[in-house]
Amino acid sequence: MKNKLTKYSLDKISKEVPFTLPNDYFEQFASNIDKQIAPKHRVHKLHQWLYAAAMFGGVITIGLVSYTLYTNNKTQAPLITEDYYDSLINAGVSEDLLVEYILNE
Amino acid sequence: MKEAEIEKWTHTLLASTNRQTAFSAIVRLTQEPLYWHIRKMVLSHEDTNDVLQNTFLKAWNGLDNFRGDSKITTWLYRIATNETLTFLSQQRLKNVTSSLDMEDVLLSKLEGDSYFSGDEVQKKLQKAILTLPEKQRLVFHMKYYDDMKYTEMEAILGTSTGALKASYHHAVKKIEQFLLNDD
Repeated sequence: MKNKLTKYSLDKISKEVPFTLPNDYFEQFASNIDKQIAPKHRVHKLHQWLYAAAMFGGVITIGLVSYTLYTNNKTQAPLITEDYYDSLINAGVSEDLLVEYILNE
Repeated sequence: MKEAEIEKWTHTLLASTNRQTAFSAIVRLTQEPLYWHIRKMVLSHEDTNDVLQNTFLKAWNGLDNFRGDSKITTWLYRIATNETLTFLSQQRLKNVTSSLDMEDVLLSKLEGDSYFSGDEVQKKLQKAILTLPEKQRLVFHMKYYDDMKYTEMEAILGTSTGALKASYHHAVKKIEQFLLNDD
């Protein structure tokens, strides 16, 4: 009984904490905390704005290009080709009627 | 801990100038004692890492609540203690269906932890400490391993010095009795 007491008395047990931890743990831990408290939200919001602005610009550009192409096609493409015009005249269609049709279109 | 350095950075923190740098410096100055404070309670390194991380992130997010009434180390110890006790109660809930006690779970974690470096006697001591209620375990660690003053413990745990002394005295008795009976 006395031996047991001597062996396991708290005074006889080392007060050193019996745990170890990975090398460089504290340096890595502190760096990790630094990353987590860095003001990333502002950067993130700025990125969101840039993405939105780029998207908006892209949509506007595509719209403008499409509209330009559409209007150019509309003004440049002949309503009736020359050959088709001649064939209609030859078929007996009145020229006044054809002119009136073209003008109305 | 380097008290003077901690105090200097605390002033910077309270002045709201360069908070991030000040907090980062405080993390570096306090992480080690806080790590061991948590580790002695949760035992496993991985769990300690999680709880310590939560401690500092909670402190950072709640920095406005720190007005300098107490030392920043006391405030951080309080957060770490709360986080540790919350973690242990969550673990207890997780194991509620298990036939093992929470203390058995902690002990098995300790036995499987490659970062446990103690011998058989130290393992026995850890086993004895695990028989104490959580708050008494905290008191025991803070006094036995860290030799913390009772006034500091009072500020952290919010328990009177008289009660802390009694708690520590009973803890020592219980542990010595356990060590005798367990042999």
